[in-house]
Amino acid sequence: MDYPRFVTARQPIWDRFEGDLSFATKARDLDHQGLETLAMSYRQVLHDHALAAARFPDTSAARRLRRLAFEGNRFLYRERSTHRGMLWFFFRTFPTTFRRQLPTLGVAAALFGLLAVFGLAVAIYRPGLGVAMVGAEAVEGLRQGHLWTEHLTTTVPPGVSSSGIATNNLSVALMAWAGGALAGLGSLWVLALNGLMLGAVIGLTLHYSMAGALLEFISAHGPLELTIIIVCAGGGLVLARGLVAADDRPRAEALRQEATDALVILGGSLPWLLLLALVEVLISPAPDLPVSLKVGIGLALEVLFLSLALNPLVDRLPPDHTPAASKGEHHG
Amino acid sequence: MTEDDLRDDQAVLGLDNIALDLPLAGIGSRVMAVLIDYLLLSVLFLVVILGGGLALSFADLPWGLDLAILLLAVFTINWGYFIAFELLWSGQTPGKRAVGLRVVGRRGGTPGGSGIWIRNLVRDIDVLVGAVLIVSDPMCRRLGDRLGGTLVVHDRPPQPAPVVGRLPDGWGAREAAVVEALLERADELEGDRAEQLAERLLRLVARQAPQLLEDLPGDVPALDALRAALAVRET
Repeated sequence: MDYPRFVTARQPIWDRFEGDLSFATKARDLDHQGLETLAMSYRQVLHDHALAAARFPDTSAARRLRRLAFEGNRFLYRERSTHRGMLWFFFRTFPTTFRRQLPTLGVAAALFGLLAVFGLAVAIYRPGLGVAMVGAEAVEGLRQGHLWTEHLTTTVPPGVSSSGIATNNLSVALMAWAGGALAGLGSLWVLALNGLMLGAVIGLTLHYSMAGALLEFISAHGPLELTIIIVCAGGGLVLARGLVAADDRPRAEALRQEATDALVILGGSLPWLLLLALVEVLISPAPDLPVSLKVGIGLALEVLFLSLALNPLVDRLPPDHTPAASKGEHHG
Repeated sequence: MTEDDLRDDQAVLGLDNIALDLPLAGIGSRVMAVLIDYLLLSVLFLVVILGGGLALSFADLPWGLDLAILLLAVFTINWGYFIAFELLWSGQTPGKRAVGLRVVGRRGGTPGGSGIWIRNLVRDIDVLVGAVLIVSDPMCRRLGDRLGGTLVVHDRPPQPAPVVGRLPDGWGAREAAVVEALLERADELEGDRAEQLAERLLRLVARQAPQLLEDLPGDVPALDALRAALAVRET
């Protein structure tokens, strides 16, 4: 078949498909019959596109068919959507993913712990280095018997403090996670820096006999806040594993699985930082609240998060269909 | 080579394994789109900080709540601008829409929500490494595209294009493509260059298929004569 005859014979099909596709795109709600008809004519258009690309390349018809093939594909195919509601996500998808990635998250926690111990040792045996880490102004306050955290309730309105703390912690968690895209170096940096800082701060407050006051201040929000930062950085390491260690999977497949798992871990962790910001401003610095209550709140929050993340009941539920557990696409 | 290898590194396969030949967007158009978006983002920040601050200062809010709202608003806009637009506008942001780009899934379909979230959460990293990756990747993917399983393609509204209705014997697809390209780009060529090229093509037609020129009046411009001789129509 020569080019003019090909165009004359097939153009009505292309025109009809273009019209139907335009209608379907605007209507957005196509019934089964309409979708089937569109899919049938799409198949014809796709085969004409293959023929034109091979036998009539660079012609107007070939370019039009290329566009129609792309637009039809975009309308008819949709990446698998796994959105099944917030409850399903937090009680099913998040714990399943968290448990699957527990070894990597454990590595992040171990690294953080090691660096915290190192920072503590440095601050105790070389207080000068500890001062360099936390700043001279904070140390001067410690000398006078004041924690730098006191300004949270005295100089800044609670709303501003909680917003500032929430956005700062969210930014740290997001950067710890996104840093995984640099082959994990960004996540490791956040883990190392925060571990060292925590150890150094505890060491310095021990040195100035203020450790009790500091632990009282962080007892309500600190445990879970650190856990979330570690988990987000661990999510970054999951992301990094997809980049640098695909094992025997195709790299694209490994990337897709690990990136989706990393995103689930991030999504299940970040909302807690909003709650923790309120705790840090309203409960942690409150002088009237007993220490036991603050410790209790801190422990309760930690247990709540870990129970949700490690949910042992998740195994008794029907099989999950997370993107990592199944792959493929379906008609939109 | 497996189907996945082909799909991910060289081409996107559609139904029946037919290559879709997606119009992938290169570095130039993508940088242009992101510059427009960052410009809009800057304007948005200014409006929110100045306008929102002014409006909130008149509201009777508890101590510091206005500043708290502004802090959260700036944070949300900073991290949410690209995600929100790409989710709500089917893979487009204002910058992408202005340049004619769209985010699609790794198989050319509508991208999933998680893909949009992932590609935009690592955007800050891509500010450093994205350009190099786009240039070096056959599918023009930055890091966020690789992690989120997305591609960025050109998506411009269709323009009418000339299609030849008949050809002299011996002419094939290559000659048809030349004629159609000339007629489509005639307005873009300088001076009477398009007329000169049309005259050369008409001489070839006259030599190989003079019957196609028999009914044409003698004083029409060469481009119009070529259109009539080859029964060109717009499609």
